[in-house]
Amino acid sequence: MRSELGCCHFALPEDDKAFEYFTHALRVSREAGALASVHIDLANMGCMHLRRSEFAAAISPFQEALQIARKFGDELSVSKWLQNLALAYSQMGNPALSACFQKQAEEAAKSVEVERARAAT
Amino acid sequence: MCAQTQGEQEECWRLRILLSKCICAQGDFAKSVTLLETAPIGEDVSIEIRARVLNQRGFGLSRSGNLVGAKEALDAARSLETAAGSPAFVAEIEINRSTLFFYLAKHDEVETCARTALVIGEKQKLPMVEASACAGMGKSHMYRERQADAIPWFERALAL
Repeated sequence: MRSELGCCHFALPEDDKAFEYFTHALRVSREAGALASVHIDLANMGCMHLRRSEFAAAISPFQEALQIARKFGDELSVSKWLQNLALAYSQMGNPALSACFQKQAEEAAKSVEVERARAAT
Repeated sequence: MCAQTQGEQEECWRLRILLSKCICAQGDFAKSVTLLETAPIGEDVSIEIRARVLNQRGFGLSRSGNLVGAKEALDAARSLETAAGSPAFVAEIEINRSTLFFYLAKHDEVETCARTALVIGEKQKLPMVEASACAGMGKSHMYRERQADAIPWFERALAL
């Protein structure tokens, strides 16, 4: 719930409150060993770094989040974290790596869309 | 091998569901589903237990990206539940359906399911159900870009 509250404050944007919720959420998730939440909390921290233009600092949380989401086959999250990595590398002046992540993100998003379409029929 | 009584079989299934929920919390949704497929559910197992297994399976499938399988499992759980007839369990299914609709990006349906569960949670005084339903309500707002509307729902869920 803290993670979602953080996301709402992040969007408003009320960054101090968002950061407080994200930090708390990540600590609680890690302590509980709740990897299902950990990767989302890590990605939220990554987004906070992107917002603050701390692009290099955003890489590590997104990579860890990506690793967890891939391990558990969460393609929707995989596509989002890849897209954020693409953005971070783009901002860091590495268009080749950015394009590579962007391509992977699009492939993951496509597989999610295919599954959604199958479920809708 | 000793034949299990119906009560023993049902206890096993309850424990499998519980273990499946724990594995979900760890993030391994595919494994949480596999666990529920290790043994066939016999006809002599009660309708309620069969519906509970399907409900948990539906949740694991939603979270592991098998949205077609999740829809089938939750629809089946819903139809069996009609025979089982427990309002608290109806709410649990609705909460899992709201998760499925979230992954299907159908946020109006997320709200409908969450609201159904919320009414039951409030009426039956089930704080866990109420909290999950509030979280569902919050998500339905959040993903429709209504963050300010979502915050009170998440705060209420956190306080429960």
